[in-house]
Amino acid sequence: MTIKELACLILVLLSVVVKAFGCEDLLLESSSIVIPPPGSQYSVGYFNIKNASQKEIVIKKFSSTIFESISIHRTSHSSSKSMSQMRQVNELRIPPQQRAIAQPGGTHLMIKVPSDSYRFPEQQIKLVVSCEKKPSSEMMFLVSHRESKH
Amino acid sequence: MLSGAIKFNKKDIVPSGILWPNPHKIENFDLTDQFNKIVTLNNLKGKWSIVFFGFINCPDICPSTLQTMARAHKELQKNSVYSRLGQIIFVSVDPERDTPDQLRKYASHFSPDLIAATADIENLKKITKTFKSLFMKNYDSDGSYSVDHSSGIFLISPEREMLSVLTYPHNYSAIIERFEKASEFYNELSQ
Repeated sequence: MTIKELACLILVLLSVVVKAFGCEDLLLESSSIVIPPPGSQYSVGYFNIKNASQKEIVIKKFSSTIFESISIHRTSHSSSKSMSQMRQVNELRIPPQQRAIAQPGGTHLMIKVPSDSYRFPEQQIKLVVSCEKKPSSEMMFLVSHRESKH
Repeated sequence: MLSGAIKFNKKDIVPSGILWPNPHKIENFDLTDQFNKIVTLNNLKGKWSIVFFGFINCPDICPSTLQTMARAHKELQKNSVYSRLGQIIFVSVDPERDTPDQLRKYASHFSPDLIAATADIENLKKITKTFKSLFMKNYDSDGSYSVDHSSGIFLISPEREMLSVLTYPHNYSAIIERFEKASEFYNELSQ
């Protein structure tokens, strides 16, 4: 084996070992958890998270002690039938130096609140982000109101 | 594009976006609203109706669409036709969870004028069929479910014709513009 081949082999092995890193290199650039309308048991979360590392990071889940469940969903739209479908997503893969963006009408967090009369904290809620490799990280999401327009 | 300065003939009109020159008529249906009142085709007759299908536990596009519809409804009060004849309707495709009581709480958040109604599955199939729409329950791995549904906003004429469907993403100015064009078109044909 030549030195060049050996170097390539080492690089390949290294890329496997460090393919997915922990959450510590994720930067939460913006976030919101929208208080649901009365009667609804599901809130929605949006975010813009940057992977500041040079490696891919895979977000596996978001969790919180105050919500019943948090799952990652993606809404898709079929323009031909004008249909909307919401499907669970098992992970979010963020390439190096790229962002995962959750926004209305696309990827979002579906957050089940304890009851439809649950009172949200005033300003921020801590969510724990778990990645493919530990450690997990804590992120503070801003609580926002969906404005009533009447 | 339609314009108030042009006299229209239905045969000369070609579709622009999703604004149909030869619209089909909505057929009868039976729903129950948030006050336990029956809502049928008669509630559409003589009114301009802006209609959206969804469900209360839809966290993303339903509340944002209803908010947009409510804003358009409010702005359209400046329009002399709409202020007399306009209404906004939300049809829930999740009757299992969306009871009249839940619908009452939910609808009041968006507009005091919002009619929120649902029905049993058979009647929902009937109304979605006449709106040329669909709905389908979809289960997640944890056993919870969501409902696939139309993301369009339907504009129905006083003669219960489906004149237009606005596609997602929605904004209130597009609803206003579409109503104004459709009502101009409708008036031209009536003269």
